[in-house]
Amino acid sequence: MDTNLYHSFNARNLSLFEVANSFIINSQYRDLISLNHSLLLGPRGCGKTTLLKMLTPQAINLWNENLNNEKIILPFYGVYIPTDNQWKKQFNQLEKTLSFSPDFTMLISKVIVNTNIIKSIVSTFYQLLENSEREDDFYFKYKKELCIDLIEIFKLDKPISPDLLAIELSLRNRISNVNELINKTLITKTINFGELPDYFYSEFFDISSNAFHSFKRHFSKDLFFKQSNFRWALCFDELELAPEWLQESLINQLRSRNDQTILFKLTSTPIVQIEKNLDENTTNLEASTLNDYGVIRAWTYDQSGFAKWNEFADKFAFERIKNFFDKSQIDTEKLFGKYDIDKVIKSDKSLNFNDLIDFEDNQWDAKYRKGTLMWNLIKHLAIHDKSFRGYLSLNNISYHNPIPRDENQMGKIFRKMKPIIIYRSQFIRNNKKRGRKNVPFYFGVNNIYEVCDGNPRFLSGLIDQLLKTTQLKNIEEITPEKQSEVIYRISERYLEIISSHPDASYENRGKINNLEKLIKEIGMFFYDSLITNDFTINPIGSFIVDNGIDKNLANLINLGVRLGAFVYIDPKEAISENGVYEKAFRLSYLMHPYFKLPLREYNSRNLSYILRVIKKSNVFDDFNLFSEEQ
Amino acid sequence: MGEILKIAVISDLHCTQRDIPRGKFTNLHTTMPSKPSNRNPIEAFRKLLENETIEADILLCPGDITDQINEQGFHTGWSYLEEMGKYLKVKNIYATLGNHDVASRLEKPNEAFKIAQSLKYNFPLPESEQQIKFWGENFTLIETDEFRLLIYNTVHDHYNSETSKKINIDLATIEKIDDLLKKTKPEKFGIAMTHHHPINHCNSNLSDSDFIDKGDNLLKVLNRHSFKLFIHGHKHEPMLRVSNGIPILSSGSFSCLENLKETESENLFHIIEIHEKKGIIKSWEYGPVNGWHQKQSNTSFPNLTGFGFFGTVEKLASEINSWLSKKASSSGNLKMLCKDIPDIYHINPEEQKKLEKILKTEYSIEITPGIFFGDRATINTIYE
Repeated sequence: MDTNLYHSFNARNLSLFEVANSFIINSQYRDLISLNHSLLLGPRGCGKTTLLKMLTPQAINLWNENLNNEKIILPFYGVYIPTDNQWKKQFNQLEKTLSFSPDFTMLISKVIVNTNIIKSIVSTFYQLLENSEREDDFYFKYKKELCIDLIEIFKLDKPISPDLLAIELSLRNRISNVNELINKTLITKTINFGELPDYFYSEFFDISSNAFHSFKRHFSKDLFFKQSNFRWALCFDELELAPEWLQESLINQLRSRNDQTILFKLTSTPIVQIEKNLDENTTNLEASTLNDYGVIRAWTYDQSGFAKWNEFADKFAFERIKNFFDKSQIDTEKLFGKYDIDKVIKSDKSLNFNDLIDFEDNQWDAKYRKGTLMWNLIKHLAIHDKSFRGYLSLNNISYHNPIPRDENQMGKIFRKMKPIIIYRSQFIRNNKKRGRKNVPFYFGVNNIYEVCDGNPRFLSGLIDQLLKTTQLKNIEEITPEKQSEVIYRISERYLEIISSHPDASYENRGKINNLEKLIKEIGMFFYDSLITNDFTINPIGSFIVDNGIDKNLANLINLGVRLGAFVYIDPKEAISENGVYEKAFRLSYLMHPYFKLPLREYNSRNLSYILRVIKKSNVFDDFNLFSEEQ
Repeated sequence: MGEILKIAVISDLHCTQRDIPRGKFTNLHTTMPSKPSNRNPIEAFRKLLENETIEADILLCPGDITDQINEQGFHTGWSYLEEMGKYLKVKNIYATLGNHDVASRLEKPNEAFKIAQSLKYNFPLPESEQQIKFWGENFTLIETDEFRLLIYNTVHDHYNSETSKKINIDLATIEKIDDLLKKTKPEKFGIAMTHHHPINHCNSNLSDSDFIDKGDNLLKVLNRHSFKLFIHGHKHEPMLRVSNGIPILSSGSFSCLENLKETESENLFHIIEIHEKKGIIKSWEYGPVNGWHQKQSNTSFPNLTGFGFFGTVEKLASEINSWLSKKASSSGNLKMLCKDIPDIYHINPEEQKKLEKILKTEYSIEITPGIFFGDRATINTIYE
């Protein structure tokens, strides 16, 4: 299997043309284009970059050029600012090597970041001005005057052509000059602050504000911009990669009302951890979001999120499949089928269910009456699983004739235990666990969407892999077995990709700990809770990062959250001093096939407890269970 | 000739199979997924033409359609050319053979041209009479209402590894060409095409030993018969120079990766617009991320250059200064400038650089990012 699961659909690598071409409007986008500051949170691959790029003038133009698209008119011009992860690394490195002058390190970090912000502003101006075919003298006059202003505001070296490309080139040279200065300082270990160019002392907000005002001053009379209200959105992508001073500065800006013409649209991982120096106003950020900024969560953590995701995923999958087959009439359900687990259980010959009865009426107990599949399955499991028998007996349910007493028992027990029974009945024989199962678990349109857990990049990779199993000419249903196999392999591959992340390992007292091991321990615990341990209707399927977890491990969990391996399931806090501590997470549903878990959210336990238990149980002896899929 | 003649040039495809060792030296394979489209040079080409109006009257391919005489690569490469010809709406495709299109290493003289000669009814030229001359006399001359096209097969004697060491054109053939050209009308635009280069093509990194021996004699004859353009392939480094009064376009490679890094070159194709014996060459570069595009920085070959300018760049600079002085904004772009001073379109890369230098040093005028960029380059007085 190739690695395109994670890399083929990374919007950072796509040109605006491709972003606009493959974009599907969703509820998060509608929230993002509102006229306020926004904090868009979500793991990698959830589409944050695409959403931000779709705020830029060029992407909007490209989108609007397609007559089939719903026209977008934004109340601002978006300036897309990618965060370079070198900024943070370079800053941390300089902090060490230039420890004799923290002020200089800060100046260097600021000048590099500021220059990149300015470059993005220039690029946005370029998109607004150079995409037109204008040849009138007014246009050239205004543009030239703007450029002269920018040269002064940015304190660029002169002589220089008053042109946006020349300005961009000069900014690039500035970065080279700064790098040269760093190298010289590292050798000479001397800094003369008085000799540093003036631009070292500029603040990005002031520079940006002045640049935007200049644009308005010159183009407010221009007919081409007569509809414009000259508002701007500075869109910072991947805040978590930025140096801490920038993170803090931007979060403070969210509360600021300095300049009503500038909005901030920030993206970050599900939890933004800020440790120090926040303005007093920012301490209780979440409580006042109504007044100042909106928090937009781009991952699925509740029913409403899944409903929105399914709607989006349906459109996304349709476009992907349409392009693959090059046909306009595509029925996604025809290709993947419905998730009908009853049908596949019935086909499991090892269960020996003969003469199953299907009741056609719509009564509440129709699927659980004597002779039905569920009736047989409960009986079957009770024979093979002593603990389940005990559970039934405790609830006064006869395992010889397990039928619900009333609607209340039906909802609270029978319906709730159904997925657990299905899984346990596949993995338990004669009170012993076994690795092999006979029926596929992961297939069908909704299951495919759900397993991707709100992540378009997962969905894109999964659909591509599923399509590879089909014939180009015929749109025929991919069998549940095939789908389940592909999904299992993707789940396995995803774990490998996550484990190969450069920050996925750390050393503690001579021992290497890494994200893969952590995920496997947690997954194994959940599996045990669901399958191996005594039957419970409330197995453990999520965890809370408690105070028993050390900082290194918390960092690893934070990385897992960022990469989408862990899903923040109770997102009350967006910006937190505690980071991941005291918060609940589950494994991404894309991990569930690997650990043979149902796509459900179950109860939480403290992570330190989970790790303690799993350490005692010698978890790695059991890992061969997970490598024997079909 | 009042009409504009448009010529597409696609050279050195080096099409081969992906799963053989040589597969890694080219972007063009016999089997290529169509998505992502930018990673497939043909699909990316189709996509470019979908978004931009790029058409041509004829398509020229100066050889090396396949790589190391890979038979499947030869067939597919030619069908790719036909496909691109359709997208460009060309009337005809004219090609010649490159050293990779001949089985010279087989050491079986009878089989050296076997694949090429049986490739397809329209290879390398559309008419069978043209083909007979090409295979029999090693050159052919096509004369239409608009142009004269001389194609010389520089690998005609590559029967084995010994004979393929040298590239030449003998005096008898030059004389035959001379006699034939005497019967043509000199007012028709004259283009010559070969695979190898007629004069030395060395650069700082690579030496050159495979130019056509007596190629300069051929150039002299062509100049005498008012030929205005010589197009060749082989060298994957694109270049436009003038020798013996004839602009020589080294086409570069459409998709081969060999020698690109050493020469700081990119894969590219060209559209040449010819009007009144002057030409404009527009070029597009390829990259697997951006597909076919026009570049922003002045590396390798310009997006826009030309030939047929016989004035001085000093005079051009002075005219540009006067033009800019009349503008209230003291600003404009190359498209507007060239409407009034069209000669700028016809200066070659060297002249472009010279003109930019004079404008900057003597008139404080800058063209950003440079003339190479094309119509949307801006022109301004420098801000001090």
